[in-house]
Amino acid sequence: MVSLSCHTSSLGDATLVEVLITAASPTRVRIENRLDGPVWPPRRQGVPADGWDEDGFDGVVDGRLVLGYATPAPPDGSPVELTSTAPVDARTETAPTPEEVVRSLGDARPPRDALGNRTESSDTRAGDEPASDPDEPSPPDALLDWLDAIEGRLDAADRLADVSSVPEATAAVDAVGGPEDVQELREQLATDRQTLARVAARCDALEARADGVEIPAETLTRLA
Amino acid sequence: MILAVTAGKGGVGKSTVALNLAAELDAVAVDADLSMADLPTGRGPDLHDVLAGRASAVEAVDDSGSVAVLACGRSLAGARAADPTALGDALDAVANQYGRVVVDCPAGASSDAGIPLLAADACVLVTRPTEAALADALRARELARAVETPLARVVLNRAPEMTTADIATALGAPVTRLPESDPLARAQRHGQPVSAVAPDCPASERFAALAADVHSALRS
Repeated sequence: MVSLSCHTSSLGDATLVEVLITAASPTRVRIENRLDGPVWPPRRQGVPADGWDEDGFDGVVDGRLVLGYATPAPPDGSPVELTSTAPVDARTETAPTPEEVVRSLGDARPPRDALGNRTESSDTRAGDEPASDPDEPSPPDALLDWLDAIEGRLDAADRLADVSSVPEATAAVDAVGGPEDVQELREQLATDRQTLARVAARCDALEARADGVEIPAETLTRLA
Repeated sequence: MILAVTAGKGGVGKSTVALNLAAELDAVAVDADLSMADLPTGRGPDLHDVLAGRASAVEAVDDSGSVAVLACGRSLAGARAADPTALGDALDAVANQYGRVVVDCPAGASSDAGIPLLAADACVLVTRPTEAALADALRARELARAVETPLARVVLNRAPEMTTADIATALGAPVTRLPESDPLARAQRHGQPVSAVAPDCPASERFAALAADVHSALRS
């Protein structure tokens, strides 16, 4: 004979559910959450404690078993239901699982603090989206830095152009530095425009030459 | 068939035995040391990617070399992001595709050593004839017992001529002795099994005999 009693209490936004199950002889039981929310089970080494899953608990009661879990759902009537009971048969007991191994031996992954300031996604070997394909040729860093600097100046100019009130104008000018710096930014952008046009013309010319070039590699190899 | 190569203590030659056994058994060598990998890596996806759900286990196997290898990433961030409990399914997938898998387990008695042992059909325990290595071998033996994985063989690495009966009794499995071998060390430095570099050297013959013993132990 299996009996079940439970008690709920509120803690902040969560409801804590305490369950007491008693059975006269070893019995495998399944209890399921009936509150309108997910089960937040107790955890060992970061994985749900033995027997817990997203809907409830599965385990063996021999005498008394006290369980507890949390849920974001508010208390409402009977929080759990005993959905199955079966006498324990040693032959049907399952082999250990990877989750049980982690629970009893500990999480062996390096702690988050060992990663320093890097986030997991900043590591191109581990991130979901690498910053760039390592096989794809990229322009030299100096060129990218120069383009980034121009982009920064253009952003600042856009912010100056977008002002529609005196306080906004004051803030935008302060962000650049001062009225002299605004003038300097304007002159610098004029220079940038000329330089970009010259670089673009040279890029186009080089690209056209690269398209047309043909190296007779096989002939040269044969002759060499 | 999944065979775990375990040790307890690090530095006893576990990765060397794993790579060479994989070569002899025509198996895929899987580097399951998620934090401190040893087996050579290629350019494709690795076990970190597999355990983080970014690649399938079979596509991460590099079978272009003399031994097919599922390598492991070297970054701590990758190790942190990998789910160790997914290893069993990954090993099963590789075993279904390739038939045989030899897993190079991490040292220690933590869950990262326990999970590949749990997934394996049998294990080989590598140790050295030193007090520290043998004490750790006993702990690794206990770990294998706890996850109900049979011990097929003990490899006593870099061992001089000696009687091994006591070790076999203490660990509960037959012992194969591997002598010091320069060709073996050289081959390992280049990520190759010794049979690919010096097929006639004594170490190659020992690995061939070890593979035959493990194979027959698994069939019996």
